[in-house]
Amino acid sequence: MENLLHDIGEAIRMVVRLDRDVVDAIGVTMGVSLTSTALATLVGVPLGFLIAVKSFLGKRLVILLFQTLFALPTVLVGLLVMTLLSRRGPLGDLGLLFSPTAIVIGQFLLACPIIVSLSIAATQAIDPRVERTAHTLGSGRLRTALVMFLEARFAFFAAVLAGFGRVFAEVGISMMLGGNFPGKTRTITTTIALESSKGEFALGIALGFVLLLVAFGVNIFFQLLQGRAGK
Amino acid sequence: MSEEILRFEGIGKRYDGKTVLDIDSLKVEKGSVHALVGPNGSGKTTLLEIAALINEPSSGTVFVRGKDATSSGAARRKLRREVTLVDQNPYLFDTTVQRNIAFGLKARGLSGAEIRSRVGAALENVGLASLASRRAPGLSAGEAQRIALARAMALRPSLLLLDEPTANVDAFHVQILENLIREAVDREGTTVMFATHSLTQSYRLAGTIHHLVEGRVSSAPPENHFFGIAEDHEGESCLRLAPEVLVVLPEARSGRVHFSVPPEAIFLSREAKEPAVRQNSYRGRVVGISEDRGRIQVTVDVGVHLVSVISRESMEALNLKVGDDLFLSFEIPSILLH
Repeated sequence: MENLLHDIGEAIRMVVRLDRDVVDAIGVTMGVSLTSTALATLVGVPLGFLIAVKSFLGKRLVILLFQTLFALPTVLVGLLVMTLLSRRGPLGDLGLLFSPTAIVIGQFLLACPIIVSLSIAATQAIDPRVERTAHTLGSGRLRTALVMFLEARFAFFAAVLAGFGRVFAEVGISMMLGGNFPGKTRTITTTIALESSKGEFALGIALGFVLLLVAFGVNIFFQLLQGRAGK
Repeated sequence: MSEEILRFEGIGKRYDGKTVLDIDSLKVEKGSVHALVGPNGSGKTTLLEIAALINEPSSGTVFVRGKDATSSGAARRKLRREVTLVDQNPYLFDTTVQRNIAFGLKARGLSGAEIRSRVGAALENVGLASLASRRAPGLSAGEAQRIALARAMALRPSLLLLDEPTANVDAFHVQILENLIREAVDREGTTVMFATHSLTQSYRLAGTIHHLVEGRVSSAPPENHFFGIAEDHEGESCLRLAPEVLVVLPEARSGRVHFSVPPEAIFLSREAKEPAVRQNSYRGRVVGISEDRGRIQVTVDVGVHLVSVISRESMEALNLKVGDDLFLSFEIPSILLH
């Protein structure tokens, strides 16, 4: 008990003093997870929207596939990307393994199905009167798609946040593809895993605080945005 | 001949093999006001959707300003900008009132100055200029209906289509909306077609009334519908429908009067009865008996034709045949003045 209290005290000091290890891990985590979420958003939101509005053969199967990938295990993504990027793999010549880019690729694959699935659901939940009204007002296809997207903007934003939440807190991909190099590929979660395995709990707890704080901050931001829109 | 705005030729619409609309021909000319009257499910909304070019007919051709609008593609999308439809329960986009009104104007590629001027004028027209920067989702049903009307009128459409424009609003807004429609017609020369279940409202607003029953349209008046000039007879307002047929009206009226008698309110009997309440009674002859979904419809010639709907039991008790003489009566308060 005494040890735990000591570790918590130490953790708080590390966060307040902006300890080098803490700051580095936050920097790397933010860098890779924001990049991978941004890329997954660029692909996932339009793709989810298109899948929902278009009719095509095998549509239900495609939706089911994305829903299944929603629960994709991170170690599986790690393994897949590793076989591609390893020296003997098809993309081995690029020399990307154990780099932030490798983590971004893995996290992109993790976040994409989440953003696609939730964007499909967001599009399907749009009031059918939106499209109808846009048409009666003489809107073309592109403008109609835009107004549908804007009407469901919070649902799409929630899809992106869910994707961000997943990659921000994942550990498998960062560990397997990043290699845990301090200041380069060592993220918040891999630091926690490494330090805990060494019996050094203070840094792990400090970074745990940060993880929770970011999750809390993201949610507050979303609530504020929705609240402002509701006025 | 005035300019033709909309024409239906042999329009049919089927859903799952069931015909919901079957219209031989329908024509709307510039500046005219048409009402579509009929009960729920009679095809009013489907007809308006086809006219607004947002629903394709299963058969037939729609012409907008003389051009075939049935084909899909760019030509149809272009013609769609000539007409606009305001739904019974209109959707306002989740943004400000002025952006809602500007939406269709932007889609038409108008300049910023032109859009601002039209949005301002449209809001002035419906008397809601103070709501310009309010968010649309917070508006009352009546306000939303007025904004939807302003949004449609700002487009200056060749044809304004309105689906039950006053169905979801309070009595105060019914009057406001009817005045707005009247102003659009009188001041802007807008051509209007609107759906309503109120025959009274259609007489207040429309020059042409189409009665829709199970997807079929007829310009003939509904059963037992009459009009003429009211006259005073022994201190009561009356309408003479034929030399021997004088109808006492339920309230004092002068000038042109429209009224109808619900077929269910017309009683038939073999003998003249002493009336218990004030009623109009006539002697007549049965000229037609038909059955429609369990209802028996008896047409009686009393000088004009009147239709009565009676139950199967009454039919059996009266033992009616075409050519029989009988007495027909209806209570004065059952008359609907339009």
